[in-house]
Amino acid sequence: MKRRSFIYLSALSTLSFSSFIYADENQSLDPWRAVTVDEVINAFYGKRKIIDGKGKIVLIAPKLASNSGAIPITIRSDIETKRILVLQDSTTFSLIGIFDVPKDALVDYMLKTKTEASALRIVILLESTNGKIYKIDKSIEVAMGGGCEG
Amino acid sequence: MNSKARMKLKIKDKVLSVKFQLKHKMLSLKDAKRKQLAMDYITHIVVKSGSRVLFEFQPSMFVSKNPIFKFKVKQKELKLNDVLEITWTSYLGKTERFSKIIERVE
Repeated sequence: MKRRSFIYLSALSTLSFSSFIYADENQSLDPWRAVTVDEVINAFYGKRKIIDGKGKIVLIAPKLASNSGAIPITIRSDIETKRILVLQDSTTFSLIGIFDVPKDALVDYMLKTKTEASALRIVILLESTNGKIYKIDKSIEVAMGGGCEG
Repeated sequence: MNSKARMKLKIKDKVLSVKFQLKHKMLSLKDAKRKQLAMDYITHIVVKSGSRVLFEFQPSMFVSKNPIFKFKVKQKELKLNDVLEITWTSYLGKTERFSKIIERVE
């Protein structure tokens, strides 16, 4: 009986220790070096609930981008925002940039990204001042021959 | 673009709209290898008016060459002849500045 409980306890401790290491790995993952969108989300927010941002965030990007070196992305929202993450899934690393939204700023930003792929998905994560996280995405086709010079 | 940056400002209906472009190659890892140059891209951009931060962005290497940005902030204390200053730092540690006066309020 003693032997059985010892095995049970040691198995349990190994399991919890490995899960501790995994959690620590996730926390220490550098979001700038994260390859996938999910890795970036995990690095920033772990397992926090992410709300669908449809109707709350406006993401304007062309369906077909003519120049892969400068694809315009516009983000608008009425939510009081603390931070906005702009991600894509076609390049080596996923993160395009982070807007730290100051007080009294309106969420109305435009930037241009670049890619070498023929299609990409833009993902926007908006963190509100009350801690809620909203997500919205849009797929973009890139015209062949557009060229990524940058 | 001859200057290292350019900026357009407009205050309308108590909202300041800003559009600016920075002159930078934004060389990603792949581009740098291809061109046999050191990887270099802007890593931090701040736009301020006095001590008030109006815009802050941390770009990655996947922002376009000579990047263009637009943003809007509430006018609040901003008025005619106030100065807006952009400060940007690159991956290689070079910091540059550009400033412009608010010349028009509608």
